[in-house]
Order: sequence, then structure tokens, then C-alpha cells
Amino acid sequence: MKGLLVKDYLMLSAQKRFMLLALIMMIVISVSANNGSFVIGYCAFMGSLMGTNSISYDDYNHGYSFLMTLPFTRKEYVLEKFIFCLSCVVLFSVVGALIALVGQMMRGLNETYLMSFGLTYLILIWIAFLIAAIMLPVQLHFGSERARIAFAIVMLSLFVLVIGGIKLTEGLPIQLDPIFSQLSLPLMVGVGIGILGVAFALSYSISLAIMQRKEF
Amino acid sequence: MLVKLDHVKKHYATFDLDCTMELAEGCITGVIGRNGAGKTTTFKLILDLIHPDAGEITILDEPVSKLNTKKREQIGVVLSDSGFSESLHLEAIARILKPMYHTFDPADFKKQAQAAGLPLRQPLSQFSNGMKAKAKLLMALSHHPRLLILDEPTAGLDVVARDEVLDMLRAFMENEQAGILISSHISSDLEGLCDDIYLIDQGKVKLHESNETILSEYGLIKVNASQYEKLDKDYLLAVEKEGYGYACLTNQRAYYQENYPGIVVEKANLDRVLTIMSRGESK
Repeated sequence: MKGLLVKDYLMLSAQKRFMLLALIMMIVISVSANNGSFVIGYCAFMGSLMGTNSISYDDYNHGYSFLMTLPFTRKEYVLEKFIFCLSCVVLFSVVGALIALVGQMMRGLNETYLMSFGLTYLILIWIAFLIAAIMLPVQLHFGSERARIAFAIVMLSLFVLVIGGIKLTEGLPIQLDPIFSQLSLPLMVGVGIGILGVAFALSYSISLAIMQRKEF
Repeated sequence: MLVKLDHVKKHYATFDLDCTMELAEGCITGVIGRNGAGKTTTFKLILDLIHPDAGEITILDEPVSKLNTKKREQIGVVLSDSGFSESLHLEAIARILKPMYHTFDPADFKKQAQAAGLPLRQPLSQFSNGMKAKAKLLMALSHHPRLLILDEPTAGLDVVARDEVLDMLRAFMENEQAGILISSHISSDLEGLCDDIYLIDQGKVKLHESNETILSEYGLIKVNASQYEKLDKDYLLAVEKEGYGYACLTNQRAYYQENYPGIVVEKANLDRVLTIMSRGESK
């Protein structure tokens, strides 16, 4: 599995020009536009995208056939993809967070900002992790071209579900807003981790089943 | 036995594969056939890239689906249309292969690459076809495998480079426990290298014979229609209608040379064996 990680990091480093351009853009936005959330979110999602796109690079030019003859199991391949993807999300989001912090430091930092910054970072990285959990099995199953369409459908469906859920709760006799505002931060973090845990467990099982059946 | 396929079947819309094949230690086995005959499908089954519908596949004395990573390290592979990403260069590939194979030596790999005239820091996309073919073979040999599965390893190479590759394969076979399964459209390479040959056509093994027997006992009989009528057909393997009459493949060349002195009987080579077995009518 170490060899697979080395491969994916080497492929990632081959895109340093693109990443440098994105980095410069984020620095400019952070310094000039005072939009730290955008910078963190963009970087976290880019990490998710770069991580899942490693599957496209493996698939490109019939590369999968040769790759799958190397000495690792399909299970190790799937596990490596998850590790690589999560590490990309963490790495990119940390870089984004540092850029946002440096940008804000020029305008002055205070405790209120830092607390809201921390919460924003956690929410955005949570979303990036969730996107990775959804996209990994989608990419493995559909391949890179159709995966983009599948991702759009999945995101749209999630959006409809969320809006539908909100509309539904508005019609309930019991209002949920006061209940939610009573929830403590540790509880919300715990629930968030729990949801991510379930999402990744499901994503891993589905991805493994896809890879075991796949023919190259 | 290094490789054993026992009545392995694979169904596709356009053809059905039904293959029984073996590769013993110390042997080089060649696989020939037209494009679309089933050679690559057979190789993919051996490499567990596709799953058989029936039959058993044993590699290095293990069922292929249960092959562990330690055994997989003993297999070196060259595929004609697949390899590492072409954005990588050989130094990067060495860094990838090092943790994958316990027997891989990066310094030795780089030395071999330089000796073969391959640049270490140029992406594979900038290699010529011949350079890519050499690089693929070097990667397959670099971790000292026991089994080589080579799908058209000499494609795109000039005569000199092909000769160098064949020498590398002969040197590899100095290990008596090793074996090579090789497919190629360049029959002269296989004639000079292989111990035995499988001919696959439309998913079936039409012929399995030792190379020595094909070259010493197989013959091509060229006859007109009236000569064909009088010909003993008991020892004919396949017949193809030609403009002058019939071209007949036999595995008893000496018999026809002795008993039919008036007809043309030539030595058969792998190319003619392939064309007659594929296009002709089997007897």
C-alpha cells in the first residue's frame, strides 16, 4: 500500500503549477476580500477533488490493467484511496486555514473571530470529508467522465432532500429551532463525527464491493 | 507448474473463450493468434484482471483469486497497451516500486535503465515506442520475478532492440525455476525463443505443439485441385483454398515428402501455421 501512496503523492506533485496558481489566488482573496470561509472551503473541496481524482489518473490510458497486476490486493487499493483522499482534504484545508488566518491577522485577530473561524473550519472540512465519502465509490463505479454527472445528481438529490426536510419541519406542530439552539457544541461535534463515521463505513463497504467485482 | 488453466471459460457477446493451458518451470511458452482471438483475454484471466465464468486458474501453485502479495511479487508483467502513468519518469517509478517489491533495487534499476539508453528524469510520454517497450520490460524484470507474463513485449522495437530484449529474456531463463508466457505478432521472435506454442483462434486453443516439432515436422503442402484429390488427408491439420489450388498444413512433413515426390512440400513457419489454422478448414 505504501507504493500506492507514493504513486498518488507523486502524481499530485506533478500538478504543482495548478496548485501554485490556486494558492496565489487564495492568498489574494484572503488578503483583499476578507473571505476566510471561502478560502478554507475552496481549499478543503479542492483537497477532496484532488483525492478522488487520483482514481481518474489510475484509469487514464488503460492504466488500471497494469496497475492491478502490481503486488497489492484490491482491498489495499481501496483503503489507500481513502487514506490518500482524507490526507488531501486535511492537507489542503490546513493550508487554506493558514492562508485565511494570515489574511485576517493583517486586519486584526480577536477571540470571537478565532472561535467562529474554528467552527467554520470544522463545518467545511466535515462537508469536504462527506463529499469524498460520496465521490469515492461513485468514481470507482462510473469512472471519471460519468462520475462528474453522477456527482451532480447526488449533490442535487442531497440539496432537494435538505430543502424538503426543512420545509417539512416548518409544518411540524413542534418547532425544532429552539431544540437545536439548546444543543451543545460537543454534542454537535459528536453527532457530526458519528454521521461521518457511518458515511465512511458505508462508502468503504460499497467501494470494496465495487472493486472486488470490477474487471479491467 | 507456474501457470495452469483448466477448461477456463469466459463469455463475451462476440466470442466465447474456452482455454486449457500450462506453463512449466524452466519453459518459455508462446501464444499466437489473430487480433481478437483471445490472447489478451487469456492473459487477463491469468493476471486476475477479469473473472472466469468457469474453470480453474492456478498461478505459482495457488488459485489465482487467492494469490497473496508475496506471491504476486514473483510475477513480472508487460502489457502492450497499459503501464504506469506517462507523466511519471523512471526515477519516480523506482520510488513507487521500491516499497512494493522486497527484491527491487532502485540503484540497479537505474543502472540498467541508463545502460539501455533510457533517461531517468524524462516523463514516459516523451519516450519513443521502442523506449517505452524497453522501460516496461526493465520494470517487469527489475524485481527478479519467477514468472513473466509478456503481452507483445517487442512491439515497436527495431531489429537490434528486439534482439537485446530477447537476450534479456534468455538471461532471465538462466533461473531454472523461472518461466515466461509471451505473446507476439513477430513470429520470428517466438521461433527463436519459445519451447512450445499455443495457437488461439476464436477463443479456442487450436494447436499446442513444441516449437522444435513445428519447425522440424510441420510442413506446408501446395497442391492443385487434381493433386489434392489424390492426397492422403489423414495427416492434414488444416486446408486453405488458394488461387493455385490448396495450401495444406501437416504435422507429418517427411511422410508427404517421401510418398508424394512430385508435390511441393515446404517447411512451415509460425506465420503460415497461424494463417492456415485461422483461415483454413480444420481436418
